[in-house]
Amino acid sequence: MTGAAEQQRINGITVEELSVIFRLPEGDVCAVDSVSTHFPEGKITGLIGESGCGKSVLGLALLGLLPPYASVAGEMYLDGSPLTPETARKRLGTEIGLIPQSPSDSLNPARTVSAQLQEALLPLKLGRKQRMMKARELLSAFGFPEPERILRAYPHELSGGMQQRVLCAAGAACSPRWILADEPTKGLDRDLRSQVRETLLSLREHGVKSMLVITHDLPLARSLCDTMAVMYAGQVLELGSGILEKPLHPYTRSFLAALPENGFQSMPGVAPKAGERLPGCPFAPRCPIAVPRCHQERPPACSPEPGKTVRCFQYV
Amino acid sequence: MKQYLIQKLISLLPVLFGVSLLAFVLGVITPGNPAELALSQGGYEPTPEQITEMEEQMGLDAPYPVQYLRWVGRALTGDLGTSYSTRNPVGEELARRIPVTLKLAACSITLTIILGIALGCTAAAWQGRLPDRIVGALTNTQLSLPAFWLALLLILLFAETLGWLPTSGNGGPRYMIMPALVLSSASTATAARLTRSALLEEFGKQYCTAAMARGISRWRLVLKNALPNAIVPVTAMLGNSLGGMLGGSIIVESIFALPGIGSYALSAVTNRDYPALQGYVLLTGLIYVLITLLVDTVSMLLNPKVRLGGKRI
Ligand SMILES: Nc1ncnc2c1ncn2[C@@H]1O[C@H](COP(=O)(O)OP(=O)(O)O)[C@@H](O)[C@H]1O
Ligand SMILES: [Mg+2]
Repeated sequence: MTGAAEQQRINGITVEELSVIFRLPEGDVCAVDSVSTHFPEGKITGLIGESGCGKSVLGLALLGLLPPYASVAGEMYLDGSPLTPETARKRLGTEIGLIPQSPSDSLNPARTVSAQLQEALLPLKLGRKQRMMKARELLSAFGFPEPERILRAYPHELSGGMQQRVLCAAGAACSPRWILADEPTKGLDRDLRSQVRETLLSLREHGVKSMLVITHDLPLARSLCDTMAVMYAGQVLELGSGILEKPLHPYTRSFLAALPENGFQSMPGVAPKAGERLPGCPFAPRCPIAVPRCHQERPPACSPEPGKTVRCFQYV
Repeated sequence: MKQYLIQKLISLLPVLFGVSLLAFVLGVITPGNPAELALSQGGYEPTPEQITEMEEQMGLDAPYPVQYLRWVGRALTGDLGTSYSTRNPVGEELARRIPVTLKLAACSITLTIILGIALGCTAAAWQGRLPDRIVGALTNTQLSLPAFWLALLLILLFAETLGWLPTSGNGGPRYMIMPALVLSSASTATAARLTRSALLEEFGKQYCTAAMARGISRWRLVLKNALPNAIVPVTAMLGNSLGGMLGGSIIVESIFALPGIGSYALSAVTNRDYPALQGYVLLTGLIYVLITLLVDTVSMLLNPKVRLGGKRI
């Protein structure tokens, strides 16, 4: 491998054999199952997959923000240096920012926007006045013509779209290199969705170089993301660019066919229950082209085309 | 908000009515004739004529509803009758004693709030670690140790052995330390546990994850983010405790010889002093209603959604 390619391999977020298991009284739930993947620097990577397939948990694992009863195995790296809950915490806000899912639950109901935004600015170690000014600037930059009023407001006084933009401002407050956006357009109408898309694109002007965008919103993914990862039952099945145009994995194909715009061809069978771990490919029970081997072994990562990785025996 | 409070006050009126009825019935079901009892204190034996005259004087020949209304009317003007045992007006006696109970309750609730919330925050911040386990053991002990036993232990240590604090009586602040410690002990433990569990519940919410993603310290998460939300259920519990403390603790006031309304109620029971007991029941009922209103007001002030109304910008 050449030096440049090696560098490219290192720069960005690398995940190796990451598993997250929630140890619950009812039993263990494996939310992320031996995921090995790479989110390249300088690009916007989309992470798609059905609800409950483990996208948010993967994101929170990267930030080291999982609850204490989650056991995490495997390695994560940012630009080649290990990401553990301890090292990740030091990077939070300054190097990796989060735009959390469900805006209405992600703002503290008992505190003003000002308090929460200023808290996001604390790592910059500014004085009180400067911090206040910076908060005002941030809100203007994220499309609030009257930042003063918003600063004084409590979250319940804002609409869903406004809450989302406040959270974008807070996530980008310290100009982190990486932003992790979790379902940024969920529950928003069309106009607001395109507004959020603009907002995410404008993050680049705030020093954000790379993004991981978890989303269900394929039009958003198509227009925003340079590359894509497809998750199913805790595993990343396919990774690379042009996935939406030319899906390689049978799951991705069924997922796309099941979308309203492609005629709602529903997938046969049901997704494995959370916590169920199959010895073979997780999609095998529902796969139209599965062979006996698919039920017994995990398919290895194959690269049938340059820049694409897919886990399916048909490409081995 | 004002409207809500007025509604609340109206909904509490039946409680006041119930309490007053209870206090009145307490006087009616008294074994023995109140007129006779009023006359016969001190070994004197009244004649039947004297008793009949007294009954008329006291209005005891009227039907009960009329008696009740008269009694309430007198109570509203502060006339709670005359104590059988001391011959003093019950209203005056209660008024003389309530400051002691108030002082004790104020000290105890302050201790409960400060210690309870501090312990709860410490336990939650270090969930499952040593500080959490220490707080757990401490609160367990506080909850299982009876008040009189704790009082005796404290007296033994601080008064008898070390001689730092007075054993009993009413005086300066030094006289309040041990009674307040004893009276606040169990409620401190309850407040600490409730604060801890409410905080842990908040930690699991999305806004705490979002706050942590800003790289804040553990203490900032606990005190600035989670506590303002977790404090709401704790307020209700603190209100209940305050109500109990204001009713006067019979055990604490008796052990430390504090002349508050708790020890007054105890002596009223032992002396079968029904007017005194009636006055006590009425007073504590009123206190309960006021505390309920106070708790409601405070929880409303703590919730910006209620405080500001549901309007959008
Ligand atoms: N804090 C948690 N405790 C227990 N189970 C969880 C927790 N968070 C997520 N899970 C489980 O992990 C799985 C993946 O969840 P998640 O990553 O939130 O899905 P999504 O892909 O929709 O973001 C789900 O089955 C969910 O029930
Ligand atoms: Mg999610």
